[in-house]
Amino acid sequence: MGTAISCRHADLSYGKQEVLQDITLDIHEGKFVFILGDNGKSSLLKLLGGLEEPRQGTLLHGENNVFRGGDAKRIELLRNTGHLFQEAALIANLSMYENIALPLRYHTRLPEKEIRERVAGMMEELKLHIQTDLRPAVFPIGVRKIAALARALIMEPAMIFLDDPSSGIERSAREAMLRMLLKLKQQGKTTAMFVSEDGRYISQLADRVLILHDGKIIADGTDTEVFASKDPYVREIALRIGQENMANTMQTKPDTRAGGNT
Amino acid sequence: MQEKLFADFIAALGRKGSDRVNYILDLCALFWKASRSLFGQNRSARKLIRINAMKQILFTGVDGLFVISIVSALLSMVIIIQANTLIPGLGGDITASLLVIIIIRELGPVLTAFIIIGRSGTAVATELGNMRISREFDALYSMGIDPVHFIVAPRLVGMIISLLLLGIYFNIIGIMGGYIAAKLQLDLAFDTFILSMLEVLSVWDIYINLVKNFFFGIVISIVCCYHGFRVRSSVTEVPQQTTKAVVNSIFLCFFFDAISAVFFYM
Repeated sequence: MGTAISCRHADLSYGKQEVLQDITLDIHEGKFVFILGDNGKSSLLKLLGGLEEPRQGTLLHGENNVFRGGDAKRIELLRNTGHLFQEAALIANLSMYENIALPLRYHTRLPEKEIRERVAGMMEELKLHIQTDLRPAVFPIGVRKIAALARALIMEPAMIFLDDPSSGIERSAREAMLRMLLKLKQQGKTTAMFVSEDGRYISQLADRVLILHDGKIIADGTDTEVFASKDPYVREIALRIGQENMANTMQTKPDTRAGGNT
Repeated sequence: MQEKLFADFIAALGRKGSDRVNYILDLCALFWKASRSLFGQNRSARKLIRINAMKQILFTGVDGLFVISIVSALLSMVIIIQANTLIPGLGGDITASLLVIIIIRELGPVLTAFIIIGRSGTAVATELGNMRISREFDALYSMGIDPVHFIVAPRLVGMIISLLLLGIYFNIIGIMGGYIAAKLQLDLAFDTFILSMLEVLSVWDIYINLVKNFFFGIVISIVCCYHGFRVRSSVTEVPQQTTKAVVNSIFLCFFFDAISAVFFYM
């Protein structure tokens, strides 16, 4: 199994604020990796996804150095990735259908009929039953996130980067998303990076867990290995995830919060 | 003490100058990147860009027709009415000359540009600023789509085409408005007016008018997109950048108008 993502001595800062320090890791193809910890998780996800350029260090996607060769080459490499952002980041002036179909319409020469079928298939898998000619603003964040996941997966990318995928989503939609991700994991063709503290997702999907603290990776291994650590910070996270997991399990009523998929 | 003040003044002047030069270079780079991206993509991507450019033409060009009609007709009427108070009994040739000089050579392109800056330029800068805040540019990058190609290029093309067409429309409505005022005040015959107009109007005037509108289209789209891109993370930056986009677009349009007047007519 080859290396999908390889990061070497990467530092990331926003202005004078240092966010990540000396990040060095390899992610093997087909592995599902969760990033946990404090500030900088989303930044690390963006760094590994090729969306944030490190101040120093290198990032390889496969054999290709993402930040060498200019913006055009980087954008070309990013075609092979799918990203789900915390705020969904759908294009506001496109309809839901246009948003999900955008990568197919832009990069492929598929006829519109086939694009329509693929979008419908993806929406069915994710149990996204909505009026697709409406713009994203009319939907709650949960629905927008599912649509953004559909957009991220529609090109069947080799790597996906998901930032807090399950938060704000109705229970049944969360289950549909989990099923979809489990299917991808079983197929073994997709490498996935997550920022999520959803205990169920971690227990069912994680091949590897990284703990980030003060901009550095302080623990790295399988979830069992990492959570067995005696480090007080790791223990605190393990406790938090345990409680979160318990809350999710106990939540039996249908989700009626703003994030509900209605 | 005085020497230090003078040195500080020169240093500040140098910094301002260098900022301005960098700003112009940034605009040139964005224009170059957007123009080049129009030719380098696959067919399906180009089709999407065409659709986006058509939307921009609809928003800037078609939706702007009403305002342009009113401004153009009223302006030319006012010009003829005021000219008649200055030179009573204005003839057909002077009326035509005035309209050609004021509407076609100067105010037509400039006022069209100002109306478009107010209507569409602000909308573009605000839209892009908001897109930036809601991470839509990141989303485009993540799909392997260059925002300069997907966002800037269609606005560039749309604005240029809209400005060219609206400029011609402004001239036609302006001349018709001028004629109506002349007809009401001087009882000027239509054929006399048109013949005088054709005598005064040269191909050069039309050419310069088109060049100005073309350049204004580039300036407005690039400046407004650039300032939309400059928004980083805060909503409060959006109105700030929109204001800068308006001021700098107006400044650059005036600057080019002055240069073209010196270059073409002096």
